[in-house]
Amino acid sequence: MRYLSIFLMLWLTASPAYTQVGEFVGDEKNFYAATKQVNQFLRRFNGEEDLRGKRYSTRDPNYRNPDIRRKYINILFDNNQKDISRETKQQFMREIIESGDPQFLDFHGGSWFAQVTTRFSYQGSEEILQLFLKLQQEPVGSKWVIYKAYFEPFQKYFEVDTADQGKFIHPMSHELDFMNLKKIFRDPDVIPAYSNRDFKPDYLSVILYEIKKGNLKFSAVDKVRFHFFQLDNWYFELTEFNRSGPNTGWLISNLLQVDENQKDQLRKFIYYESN
Amino acid sequence: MIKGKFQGYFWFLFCIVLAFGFTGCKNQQKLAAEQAAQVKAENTAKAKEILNAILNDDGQLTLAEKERMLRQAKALGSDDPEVLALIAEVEDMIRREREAQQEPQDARVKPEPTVEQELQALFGDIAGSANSSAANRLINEGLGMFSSPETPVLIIISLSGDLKDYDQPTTIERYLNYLKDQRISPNGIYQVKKDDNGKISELELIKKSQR
Amino acid sequence: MRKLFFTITALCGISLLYGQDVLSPERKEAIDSLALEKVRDLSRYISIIGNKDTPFSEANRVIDRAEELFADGSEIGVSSINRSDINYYNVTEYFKRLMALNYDRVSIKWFNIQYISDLELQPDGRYVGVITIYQRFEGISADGLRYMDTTKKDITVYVERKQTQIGGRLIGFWDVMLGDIRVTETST
Repeated sequence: MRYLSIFLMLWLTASPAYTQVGEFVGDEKNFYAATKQVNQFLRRFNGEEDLRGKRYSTRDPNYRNPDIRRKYINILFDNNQKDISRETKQQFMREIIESGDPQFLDFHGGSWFAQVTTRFSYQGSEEILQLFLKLQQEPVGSKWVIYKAYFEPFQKYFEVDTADQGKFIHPMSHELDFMNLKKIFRDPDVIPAYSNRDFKPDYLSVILYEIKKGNLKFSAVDKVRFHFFQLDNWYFELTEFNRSGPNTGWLISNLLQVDENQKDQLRKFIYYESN
Repeated sequence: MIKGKFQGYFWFLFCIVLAFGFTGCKNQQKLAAEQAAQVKAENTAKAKEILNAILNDDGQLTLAEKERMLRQAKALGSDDPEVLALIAEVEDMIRREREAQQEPQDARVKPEPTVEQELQALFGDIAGSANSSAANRLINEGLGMFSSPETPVLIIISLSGDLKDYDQPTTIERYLNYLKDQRISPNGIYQVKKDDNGKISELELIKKSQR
Repeated sequence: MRKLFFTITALCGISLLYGQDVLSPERKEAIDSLALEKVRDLSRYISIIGNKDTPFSEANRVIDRAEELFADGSEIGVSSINRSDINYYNVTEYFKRLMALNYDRVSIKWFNIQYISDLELQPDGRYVGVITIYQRFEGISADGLRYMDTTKKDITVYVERKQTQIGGRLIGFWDVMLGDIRVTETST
């Protein structure tokens, strides 16, 4: 309210040519409500800080208190995401908070990673490049490391035409010192057909190679999100929202109940490996 | 559309200023002279205001406050004859008041301010000074209390038992300038060490929140 | 003239001194406050640099002091709501631009809220944390033009335990340096 009146005062005194600037209707309440850092998301999820962001001592009765967690986790969802049903949220909270074995998130606990959507310039145009980073423990401290990547323009180079059954290196080729390789490599487009069944292209190696060769140049980070596989039977996605109102900052933008087998499939899907 | 235009405006302004911001040296000199004259006029007005406030006081100000304000007015460095006359008048007034205060106290001599009190007052005056030239004058005066401008200043940020956590050590000259820039005096005096000449050779401060 | 040489002798056994289990909450809080104070110092320096009443020499001195708050190579990345791109500036460039803007008056108001992350140990032995603050910047130029925005600033803070020799004794201190700053215009 105080800031609204400041705005009105400034707006009234502003010169006519500049009154369009006066859009400031800031409200501190929303900044309190906002989940301002991933760090704060973790602490709120675990019930480890008070409303002003001050850490509870581990001896404080409020520390990881189920009632506090329930209140916090309730405000950690993106309210615009209608795919997360009320029932799913309730079940999630029951299992995470109220079961005999409550679950907490651990920054150094592994099984979560960052997906960073970046733009690189490649062959004269800007292209989206996905980077996957995880925290790696070091002899001293820890650091984020890039461990996977995906770049759509490279995908076509690894595609295998499964319909074409005629592309193979026949089983007696070894007797001729594989002299037929000359024919095979004459047509680069079909080379992936000669690889093994489980072959998965390693985009990161190719990307690093292309960056070193100067063919790929970094432009910008477009979006950052996190995938959490740390909780038993649950997966959620964490995304940052910059919008008015209290439901802003780092929020759960996706929530799925998945068993360990499904988690593997989901990981592959996120890594663009599921085909 | 208007909003979009505005978003670009800030950076547009950046570019314009960068491209045309470097005007001739002459202009700068003229500007500097104008600025100096303006600062001088402002300092004179400010000094008059402070001195008149002391003279017109109806008993609200203590003697110490009046002395502090006089120091502030002097620090503004105005050579305006009216200001000089007002200073003389205030000094006379303060001297009379001090004498009057001392008389009924019989033989009880008011103790001299301790070095801690002097430093605290200096820090407060610098942080609260009206402008940077006034603050610079106080800094130059204040440096006289120290062995050298490089006298080390240690700042305790946390104290638990014998365990002291410090901020990065600094020097008195840098610290006094810090007070001028930040306009707050966030630290109290913890310990003062003096050299053989009675000048301060090391100063240990402590965050006010830790006291 | 006597000169004081701050000899940084050694990096202390940080894990012993700053290990999560050893450092009391009060000491941690003091370090958090110290980091926040550096952020406030920066904010005040920005006001001085951006104010046209600040004499040129004084502004340059303050720029030097402001730069000293930062670790080498720190950058400031600025984005606005309507633009997806981030503009990157190194610290010196950012201050020089601010000075060149020559506002009649610059005011930086803090929202009464800040968030201080945990300090995490990084492989070089330094601790790193992020302080998030919200500020309203208002610059008014001589001809009355007013620029105003509300931004979220995520400020990297490095904390390192160092030692120096003063007056013949060894003083252990916390060296707090600011690092990269991400400035995001907020939707308010």
